Amino acid sequence: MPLVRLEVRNEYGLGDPELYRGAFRKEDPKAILDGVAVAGLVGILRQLGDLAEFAADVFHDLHEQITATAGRGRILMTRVRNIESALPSVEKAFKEQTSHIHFAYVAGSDWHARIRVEQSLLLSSELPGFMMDSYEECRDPPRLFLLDKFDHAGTGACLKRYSDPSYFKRTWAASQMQRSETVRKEKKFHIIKRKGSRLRNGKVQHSVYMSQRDCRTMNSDGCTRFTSPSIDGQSLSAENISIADTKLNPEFSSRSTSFGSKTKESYVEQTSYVNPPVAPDELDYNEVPIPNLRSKDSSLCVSVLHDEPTADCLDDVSQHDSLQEQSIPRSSSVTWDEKIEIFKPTSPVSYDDILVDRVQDSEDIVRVEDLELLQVNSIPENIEHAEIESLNQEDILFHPSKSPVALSDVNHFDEVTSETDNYVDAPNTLDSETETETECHTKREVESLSNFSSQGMESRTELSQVMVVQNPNSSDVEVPNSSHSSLNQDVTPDFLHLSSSDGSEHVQSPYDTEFVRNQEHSVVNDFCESNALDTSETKDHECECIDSSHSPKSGTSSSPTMMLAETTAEKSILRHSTFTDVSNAPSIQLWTNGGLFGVEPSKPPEIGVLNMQSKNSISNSINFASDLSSCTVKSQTLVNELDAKSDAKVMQNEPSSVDLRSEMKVDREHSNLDSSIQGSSADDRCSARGYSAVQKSKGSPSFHHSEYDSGVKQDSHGSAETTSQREFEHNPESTCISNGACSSELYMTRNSAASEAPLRANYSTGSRQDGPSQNSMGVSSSFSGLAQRFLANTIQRKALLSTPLGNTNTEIRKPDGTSCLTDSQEASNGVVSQATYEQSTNEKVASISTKEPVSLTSRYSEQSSPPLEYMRISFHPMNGLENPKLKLEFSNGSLHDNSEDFVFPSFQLLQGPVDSLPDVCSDSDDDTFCRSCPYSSEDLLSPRSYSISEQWEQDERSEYIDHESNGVLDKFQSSVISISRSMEFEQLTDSNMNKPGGLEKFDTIVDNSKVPFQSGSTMELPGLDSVLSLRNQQERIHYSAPENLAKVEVQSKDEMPPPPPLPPVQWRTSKSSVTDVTDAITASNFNNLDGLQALRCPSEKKEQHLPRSPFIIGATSPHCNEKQDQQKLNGQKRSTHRVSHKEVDTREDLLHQIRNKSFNLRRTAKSTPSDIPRPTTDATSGNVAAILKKASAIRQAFVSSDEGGDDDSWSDA
Amino acid sequence: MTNAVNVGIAVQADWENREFIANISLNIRRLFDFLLQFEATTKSKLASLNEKLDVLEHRLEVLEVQVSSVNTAMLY
Repeated sequence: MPLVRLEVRNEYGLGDPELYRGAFRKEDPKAILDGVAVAGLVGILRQLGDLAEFAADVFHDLHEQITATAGRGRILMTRVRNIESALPSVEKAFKEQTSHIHFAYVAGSDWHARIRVEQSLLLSSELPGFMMDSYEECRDPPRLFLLDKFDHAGTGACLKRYSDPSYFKRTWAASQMQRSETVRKEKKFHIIKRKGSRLRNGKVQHSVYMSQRDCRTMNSDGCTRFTSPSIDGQSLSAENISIADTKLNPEFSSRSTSFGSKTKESYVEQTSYVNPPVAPDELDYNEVPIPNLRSKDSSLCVSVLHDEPTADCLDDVSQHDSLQEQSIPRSSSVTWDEKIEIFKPTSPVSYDDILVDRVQDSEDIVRVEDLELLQVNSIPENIEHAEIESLNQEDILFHPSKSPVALSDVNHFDEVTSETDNYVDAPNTLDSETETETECHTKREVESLSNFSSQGMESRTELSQVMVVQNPNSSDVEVPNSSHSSLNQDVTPDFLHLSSSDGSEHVQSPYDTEFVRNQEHSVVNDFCESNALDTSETKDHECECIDSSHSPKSGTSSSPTMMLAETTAEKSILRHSTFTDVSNAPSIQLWTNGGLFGVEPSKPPEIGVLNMQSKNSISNSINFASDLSSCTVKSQTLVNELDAKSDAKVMQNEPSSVDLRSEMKVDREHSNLDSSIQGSSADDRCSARGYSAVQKSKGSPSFHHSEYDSGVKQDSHGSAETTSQREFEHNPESTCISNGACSSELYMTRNSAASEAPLRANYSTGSRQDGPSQNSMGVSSSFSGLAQRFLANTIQRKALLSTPLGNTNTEIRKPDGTSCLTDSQEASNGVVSQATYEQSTNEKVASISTKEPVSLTSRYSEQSSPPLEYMRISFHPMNGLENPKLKLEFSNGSLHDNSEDFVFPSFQLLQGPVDSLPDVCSDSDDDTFCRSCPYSSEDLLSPRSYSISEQWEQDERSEYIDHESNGVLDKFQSSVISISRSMEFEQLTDSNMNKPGGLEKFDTIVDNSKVPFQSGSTMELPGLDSVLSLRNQQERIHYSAPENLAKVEVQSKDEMPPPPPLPPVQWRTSKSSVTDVTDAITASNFNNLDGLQALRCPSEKKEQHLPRSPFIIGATSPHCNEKQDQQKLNGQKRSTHRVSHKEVDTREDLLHQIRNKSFNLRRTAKSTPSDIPRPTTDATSGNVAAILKKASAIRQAFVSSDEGGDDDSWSDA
Repeated sequence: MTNAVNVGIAVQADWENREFIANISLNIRRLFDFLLQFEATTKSKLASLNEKLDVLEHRLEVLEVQVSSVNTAMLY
């Protein structure tokens, strides 16, 4: 509802009806009419009174404001004067000073701007009068307060029930309070949430960044440094997490990963895109155990292989007995608890029994043995168990480096609490869990990074020891295996490990994994206590702990298989006894550890989580590796298993693997490795065969998935693991040296040598991998500009290329020791990651580059387009009404300021004619006092697309303008406008006087009109354009410019020269502006005529001053058309006449026929002009006819000059 | 007949009167319109002027503080 400022009532309504009501009674019509008329007059008088009142109100208000403003201005002036008066003294004193250094020591003023309180701007007391009037005039509410005495609510209650103005205020306040409450709660929640996730995210990103950077450095430098191994752990965890995320949550691909790195996101997208047919892995875990089994098998092999190199060291260390052995059982117990938690997520349904058993085992190690027996009895269960344990083992692989950190443990526990709950809840919540887990792991790894630098060696040695512990077991098991044992015995215990692991995967792997986990926990505990303990002691202690924990298991495992050697059995028994002794106390110490940090230690699920993820990733990768090896051994099975794409990719990968093998075969160990790898792959393949084809088909997609995952998520880990591998090489050596007297020195040396050689091989492979990856990189970079999907495909291809290599490498490296698998994978993945990273960068760059040109173009377009708009806008005010302003500003010289910056050097010259204008038009208050001006300007500001097709209308408008200029419309316009019109004419005459120089300038102005004008210049140019347009029109008329005639020709058909009904003022003005635009378009055509115009200026001035000039324009326009036609045809005629003669006389060629046609056309065109001009001339004045004749003569002269050439051409033709 | 003529004349005179009154009323309305517009434009210009004055006051305030600080600094 608009607020009514003032209502002007009807004049007859204001008049008293009694004036004519008496006449009704008399029934005197004349009296009635007179009465009504008088009433109207009275109403008018009252309206005038209202007007006076309103005006007084308005002016009073204005006066108040103006006085206030004037007062402010006065105050400002006084202040300025004060400053002016104060300045000289300051200047004087300042100049007198020689050194101004003391200013540096002078404390500045404590002044602060007094910011006004922006409150209570809208007060009821400041309501405008007309609004206050409504309040004053309104009636009071009913006197309901009289009923208050009957109301229990008290005084004012009754009135409140009727009308309660405070209701809205109260309601609003209540709603605001509620809102603020909710917002506060949300903020609290967010803060709490962020507190937990902030560090993780930061660390995760940091780790990702570090890993990527390391990958880059590794790729760039063939042999790089020993970076902190914690990075390896980080990378591994990140990999595992990411893979686990993708595997567990196929839906997770759509989501943005916690890392937020584009590479991973893109990879995730790829996974989702590439592996749509893959069934969710959760279902596989729960329902179909077969793919898992496959992965388990391969993972088991890998894990065993990992443990081998360090096993020798462990044997040496295991003999040492120390008080700290007790810590080992604790760790083992902890690991058992973790196991339980781990099992829940993976296979909640089928392993409940095992879980229960293990819970019990955590309390008693003897039960652990039973559990192991159970595992041995039930192979599938054992397999899955082994699977989980393999995960644990992998965790251990990178955990030993991480675990030592005490702080990490604390954080770990804090974070794990919620995670464990999630896991216990259901596997359905794996999405969030995986995310949190990733964060936790990365965080922990990062923390371990810092701490590991000091303790890294120790942890490595421990790791190696743990591996050594496994070696005896594997060797024991291996002995019965004749095929593998021969090779293994000949070469090294490491290879024996491989073969044995292949043979007795199911039995050993769980133990190994348990060992690793136990060792990990022991390591953790040790490092918690490591502050007081020596590093050597911790090493020994850990080794022994591991041995003890492992030995009973190995004994149990070996007993069912009946493969134990006597020596190993004895060792295991001894250790078992020690272990059992120690096993009773473990939980207590662990609890004490937890007490140290004030957190309950029973939150190992972290490890479980890690194991889960690592399991997934490693199992997948191993699956892939096994698939690849099986491909090399027997391609048929692979062909059956894999899709066409996978086959192609595998084939691509095969040559690289073959090369690797050839290199590896240089050394005997390497050849053995190859054989062992093949054997393992054969075993894997056999196991795969054992399962149904459906499972194979599922395995193949999972294989793709694993490839992809490894490629995607192991990217960040990159080169860090290679560094860890090297460190590992050094570590076993150091351990061997320290434990020099040990019997396993030979093994150690062999291991070290073997590990070194394969490492080199791995590096070479890594370098090879770099090549293809780089190639793919180049391809990807080349394709970076393409769609994301295409990019994703390329990246996937890269990942596939690199990952299989990495898997082969891992198999080859297995004998090397602990982190070989992870290292190789990471190496390959590092390459992949680098490639992907670069791809991502390339993508970014490409996107940027693609976007940049677009943006630039857009900018340019924007920059260019605005000028056009400005041009239009500038043309809008080109109406005659704006001319006075333009002139005014010219006289004021403001034009210089605005226009000089723009393109017109010659613009200043225009001042001459413009300056001649009087200042009458220069009232800046036109808009305020002249009502029509703002309206017209507003109408003109409406955007209009001016096209050549609108020239007709524009011409009409120009005619209207001419009418205005003739004074026809002066009635409707204000005196100022009329004055401007008259001045316009004068200006025109002046401009005509200045034609030779001035016209060119006008043309340039018109051409440059595209430049955006400032507000001042916009008002100015239109006037010039309008002047120009008028001049152009006149020039058209009088000089019959040939180019303009072409346009006028078209216009003349539609134009009706005299438009009797005059449109409103705004219309007229707008039309004038439009005509100016069209004139601007055609302005360039006039340049040719400047010379002629200059000659004829004086004569034309008179004609321009004629009042009928617009009509003349309208009338002459057809003439112009005719002229043009004539001019064209005059030459054509002659030529055609000649040609026709030739035709009749000589030839009848096609060319002549063609010419005939053209001739006929011209003739018809010629006939029309000859007819038309006469009536038009009759209709118009004789001056026009004379002008037309002159123009035609000129045109003919031009045409005749041109015709010579035409004739020549015709004759030539 | 004469009566009818008289009535016709009266009606014609009435029309003329009405036209006159309508013209005057229209012009009065235009005056109102002009007043409103004048007030609006004037107030807008005054507002802009006041804004400029605000800016000037702020600058002057800063200048005054600077001068005063310089004076105080010169004393040391």
